[in-house]
Amino acid sequence: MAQTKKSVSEFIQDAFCPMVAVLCSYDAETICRKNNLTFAELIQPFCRLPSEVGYRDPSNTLIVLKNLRLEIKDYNSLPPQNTLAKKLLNDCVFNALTNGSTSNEREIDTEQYQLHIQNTTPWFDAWRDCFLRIAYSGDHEFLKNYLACIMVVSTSHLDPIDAFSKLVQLQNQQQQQIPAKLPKWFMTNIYKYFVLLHDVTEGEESKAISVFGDLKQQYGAGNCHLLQINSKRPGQTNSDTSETTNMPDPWRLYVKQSSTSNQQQSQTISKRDGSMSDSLSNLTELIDQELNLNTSITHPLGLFDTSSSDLSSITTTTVDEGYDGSSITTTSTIIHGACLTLSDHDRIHVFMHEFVTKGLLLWVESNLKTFNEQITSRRGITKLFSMPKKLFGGNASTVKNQPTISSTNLTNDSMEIVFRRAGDLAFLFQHYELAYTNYYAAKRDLSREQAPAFYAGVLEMCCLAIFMQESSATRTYPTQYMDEAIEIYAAVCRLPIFATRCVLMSTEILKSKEAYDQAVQQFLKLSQEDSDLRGALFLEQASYCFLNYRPSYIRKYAFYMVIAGHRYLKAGQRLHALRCYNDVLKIYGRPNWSLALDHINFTLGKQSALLNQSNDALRSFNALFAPNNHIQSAQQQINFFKEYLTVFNQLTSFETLLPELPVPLVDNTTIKILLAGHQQPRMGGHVSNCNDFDFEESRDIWSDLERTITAHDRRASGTRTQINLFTSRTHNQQHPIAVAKETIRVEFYVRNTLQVPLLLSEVQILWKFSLGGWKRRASTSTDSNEEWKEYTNDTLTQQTDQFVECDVLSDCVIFPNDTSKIELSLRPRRSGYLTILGICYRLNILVQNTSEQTNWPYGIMGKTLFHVRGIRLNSNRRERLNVVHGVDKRLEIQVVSEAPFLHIEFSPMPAAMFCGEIQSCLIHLINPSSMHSITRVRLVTSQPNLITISSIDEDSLLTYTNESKSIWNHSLNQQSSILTLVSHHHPLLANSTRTIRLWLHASHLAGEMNIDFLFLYESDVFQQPLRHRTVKHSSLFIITHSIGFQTQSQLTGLGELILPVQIENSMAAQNTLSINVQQLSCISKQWDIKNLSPISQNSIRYGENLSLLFKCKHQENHDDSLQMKHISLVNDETINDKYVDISKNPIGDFFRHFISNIDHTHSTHRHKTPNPLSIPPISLILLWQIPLSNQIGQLEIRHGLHMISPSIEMSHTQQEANDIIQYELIYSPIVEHKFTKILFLPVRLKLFNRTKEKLQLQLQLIRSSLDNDPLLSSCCLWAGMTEQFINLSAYEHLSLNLRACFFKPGFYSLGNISLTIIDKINSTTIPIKSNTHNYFVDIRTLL
Amino acid sequence: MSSSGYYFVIVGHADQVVYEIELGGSNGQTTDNRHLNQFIAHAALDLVDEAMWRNTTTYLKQVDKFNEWNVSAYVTAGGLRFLFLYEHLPRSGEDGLKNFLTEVYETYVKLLLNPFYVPDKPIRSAAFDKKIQTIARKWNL
Repeated sequence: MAQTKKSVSEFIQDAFCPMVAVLCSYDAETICRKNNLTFAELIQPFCRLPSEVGYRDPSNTLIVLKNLRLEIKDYNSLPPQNTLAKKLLNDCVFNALTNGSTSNEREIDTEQYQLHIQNTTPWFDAWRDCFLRIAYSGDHEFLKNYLACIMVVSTSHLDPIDAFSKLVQLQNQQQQQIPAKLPKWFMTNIYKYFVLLHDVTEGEESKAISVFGDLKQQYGAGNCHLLQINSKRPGQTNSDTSETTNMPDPWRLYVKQSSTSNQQQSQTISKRDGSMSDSLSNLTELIDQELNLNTSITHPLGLFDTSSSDLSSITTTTVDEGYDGSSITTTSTIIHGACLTLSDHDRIHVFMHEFVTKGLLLWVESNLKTFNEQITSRRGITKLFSMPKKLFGGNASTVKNQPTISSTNLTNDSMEIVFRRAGDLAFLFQHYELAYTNYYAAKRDLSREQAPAFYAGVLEMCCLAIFMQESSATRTYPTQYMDEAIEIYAAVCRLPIFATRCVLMSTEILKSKEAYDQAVQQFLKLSQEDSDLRGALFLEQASYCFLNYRPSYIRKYAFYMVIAGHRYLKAGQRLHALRCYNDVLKIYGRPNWSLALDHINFTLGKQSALLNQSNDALRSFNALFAPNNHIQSAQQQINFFKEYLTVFNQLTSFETLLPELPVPLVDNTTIKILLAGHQQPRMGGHVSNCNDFDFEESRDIWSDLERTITAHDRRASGTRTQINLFTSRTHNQQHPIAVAKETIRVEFYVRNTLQVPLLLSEVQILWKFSLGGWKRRASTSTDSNEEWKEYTNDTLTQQTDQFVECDVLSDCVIFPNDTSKIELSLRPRRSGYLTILGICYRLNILVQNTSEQTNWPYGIMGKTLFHVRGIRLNSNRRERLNVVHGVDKRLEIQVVSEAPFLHIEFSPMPAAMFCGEIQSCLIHLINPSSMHSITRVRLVTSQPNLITISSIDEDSLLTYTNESKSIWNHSLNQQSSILTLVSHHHPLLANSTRTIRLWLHASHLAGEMNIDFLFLYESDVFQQPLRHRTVKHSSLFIITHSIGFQTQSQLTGLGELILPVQIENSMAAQNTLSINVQQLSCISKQWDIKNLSPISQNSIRYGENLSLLFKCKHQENHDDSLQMKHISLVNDETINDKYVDISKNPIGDFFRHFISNIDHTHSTHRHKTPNPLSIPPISLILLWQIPLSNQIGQLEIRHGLHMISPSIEMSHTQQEANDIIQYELIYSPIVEHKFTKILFLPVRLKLFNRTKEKLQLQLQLIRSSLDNDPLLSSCCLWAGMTEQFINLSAYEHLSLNLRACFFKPGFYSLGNISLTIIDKINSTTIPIKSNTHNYFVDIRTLL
Repeated sequence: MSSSGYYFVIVGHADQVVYEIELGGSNGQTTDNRHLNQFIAHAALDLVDEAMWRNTTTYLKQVDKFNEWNVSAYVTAGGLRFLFLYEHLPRSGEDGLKNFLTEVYETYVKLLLNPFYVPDKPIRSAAFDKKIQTIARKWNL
């Protein structure tokens, strides 16, 4: 809170101190001027009496004056003129800020706000002191009128006595002239004091003494003084330097303040440069001259504080020129008091003391007494008249209601004036009780309407007198008096200057009484209009008062500070305005008071810019574009931005580093670094898509695949996998490794948080490059080694010879509240250590309005830095409890020297395939390097069973043969999942190309199929940390349903296998496509296939189904060779005997993949030696084709193959009799007979030995099995031999003819047969479980 | 603020703006002085904080005045402060204003039931906007 240094009573006492005029003869002035001082100035430092003095009041009590101060002014000095007064006030406020660096801070700490508030407001104190000093006395009061006049004549005058009398005459004339002129006097008989000034060095002492004697005789001893000064010649100073330096200069303070320092330097008025005091004094002189011509009594300050409209041009220019720190006060080089010794100082002290005690106080005493007598003598009369006066006065006042500035209609000797004068005199000489009595008497006798200014003045002084009585005061302080006084002064009399003085006094008193709310009321009452400076100061004081509320009104404080700042701006006090705004900026920092905050920041930015405080200005402007600002309107933001650009262009022209810009916002989580450039296909195909930012390199599959290859290499241990894409999701603990002269691409998103579209141009990456390494600490910067020198493009000057070549994005528009992606690239030219710092660009906004476009400022060049941090760590307790992020080195790239780079291109890969379809495409391996060859290229894929390669010339899928049956004479070894494309023996030379055909087999499952290709290549020039390099490609295929291929092997008895094959068109959507089945091949060691169904048609349309039936017959195969049997399903005689040889690649390879996939026990890739595969007993391969017309109408035939391996149930648990022997009964199930005789039904029993051993069987035909099965009506009767032994050799078929006989019609079972194997070795019998109860016969009567 | 415009703001516990809306008045021209609404509302908080301990009701009537702008306040049970800035009382008078604020409070309570709304965070809901405007129209604001 603004606390003054002085106590309140001291302040009031100083504000109202007795005024003394000095009237000097010319010769006296000349003597004084030796010291560069006027006489008034000379004695000014001594007018505070150090000792206590006293006088007696009318009731003869002793009044002790403590610390009495006289205000001594030159007779000719006039209060400064209106404009000058304004300037004085402005200057003192301005200087107080620049001088006063009081670090006296107070902390206010509430629940929500922590504030540091300055305890003192020196600028306010300075303004107040200045204001009180230059304020003039009103017509209704006598406080500021001269009580006394000191006449000064020097001994060097030819006739000093005559000179004195002339001076007295001059004074008398001045006082009596009509109309009256300044200065004003307290009363007719002012006190006159006569000083004979004697220059010790020049004057004759004898003359001085004699003249002084005459003087004493003429004017009385107490009223005269002989003052001896100038004991030292000005030239003497050189000889006695020590003394001069030690001499105090008490004048410095006074003369600087003094507006009337009469330095007679003839300079032209220079407002802009030159010392301020000079120009001031000159101004004063000019105004003085002007005033002398002016006969009007109107005080120059009378117009003070009227509205700013009538400001003279001088004022406006001076104000505009402004307190911006350009014109700082000059240090005065003039030495004051050069001819005065310390004893001279003492003499002046003595002179002042004598003047007060022997002269002035006696005069005061006698005058008080006279007043007292006047009052008591007239009291009786007044009492008589007071009653009617009040009655009539009230009526009269209603008539003339308009305020008069000359205020009183009281005559000079009316009672009220006497009261007032007596009160003022008592007040000035610290007899406050007497003063109050008089003031109160004056107030009582007066009505407000009669003489408003006088009434208000009396009210004001009543309050002050009560307050000054302090402890002895019996009555409480009447605040309402003061309020009324202010009200009258301001509203009725239009005397703002007195209202202001009232407020200054009153608020000080109220503050000391802690009545802050009343102080606020009074401050605000006078802050509304009139002077901006006063308004600003009062508002500021009011806001400080708010802080003293209990609890503190912090938000009110903030608001009023803002208004105060606004008023300061209007008054041209920019620094003060900035201070006000800055003080409260934090209070509005709560979320979403953004409109208010923007207003403050905008003002701060604009004013700081005008004051050339570029950093502050930029900081404020940057805050304007903070991302949390949502509600500011677009137009406003355009205005902000225009100002911002203008300011920026002015301020940053001297900078060398690029400034950081607030917009757009880089989303740091989206920064991706890709160590690969855009590649153009050279062979007309497609380049691998690992060069895209959306390539998912982070998937584990890639490192798995890479390890699959490197696991086989001896030296590969410890080599990390190659990663080219670094995002916020990857583990960025290691530096990316880039290769010189290869492109590095950076992708990121920027967000425009403003409401206006942003235009970025000349966007490029901001980098730092060093040959030695990354600079970790500042200490390394002392290392002047060339290796550690850092190169960067973070500069506004253009550089040539760069280590890094950047691609420039010429234009980029980001729409309001939108996010857009920016991709930039750069190429390091040599190996080293590259750090990506951010981006630099030219920022502007896109203005639609064409009229504005013409004078729209040029965009600003600046930068935005990247800030990346690693993923949040979560491994130990400390990390879990805090937010700890890992290191992220993705922006610090190690660049290795040039190395070969394999360019891989694919001929178009099919995007959509049918299940089981086979397609081929070409892979071009290109080595664009002109020097180095690539020694080895290997390929590994995520779906090794669906991929195979062949050389470029083997381009046919189908290889035909004439033989329908052949032997698989290729190896069926487990294939390595790693495909070697280029081997050591045949390296890929520099500038050469190699093409390889890749066969793709679509999986049998519909849906999306993703195949990841990892090409790993090596070269002799590779060295750590780049042992090998990789190219990755990921292809996505849409697989649609094509064909359903099912079979269910059915073991029939007797070593035969029935294979009903269902081929189904299982396409999902209806279409006109038909699937043509071509060939079915069977691969088996033991089975020989035969087609049972006729080949009628081989094309299957949508929704159709083709059922084929095959029968496989077991065959003896001694050499364990794998047999192939092809069955053409084409119903075309012409292409007979033309079969597809499925053992040839690529079908052979796919078959190998197929059977290795079935065999799950060998599915791991890790086996170094290819294992022989376990071959399923039977495998069917169906070849098919779909003719379809492609987009250009050509017929295109898609080939495909499906493989199936039906399981044959030969479970070992049933390796009992049933599996050893198979039998069946063949007969006609329905028989019609006339039953004229017995029916003999021939039944054929077929037996088959499935073992390789010879068996002996016992066959029993049982008579009846009725007991066994009650459900049956009967069993048949067997005729013939009912028991026999049969020998069956290995794999032997045998059929026996049996006869069943029936006597009547009915439903008979033929199940009463029992077969038993006789094991001779163990001499046991094994019964064969009968399945014969399934055999029934229906015997009917034939009518 | 134009002569017929109103400004309504919900201030959270840490003096942050939870929600603000300009009601009534002509649109577009008011943009120059929009920050003034915030300044006045913010400055009134001191008086609201004081008044809410003196009154037992939630509706505090007029708490502050700056030049021609009046501020009325409503304090919720949870300590949220609703401030309403106006130059002239709405046609529905003091009661209308009270009803408006009460209904806004009800709407706010409903919003609190939304599990995705974190109390004291800015309200950015078009539905809430619309609802407030409906209530304002209902009470002739």
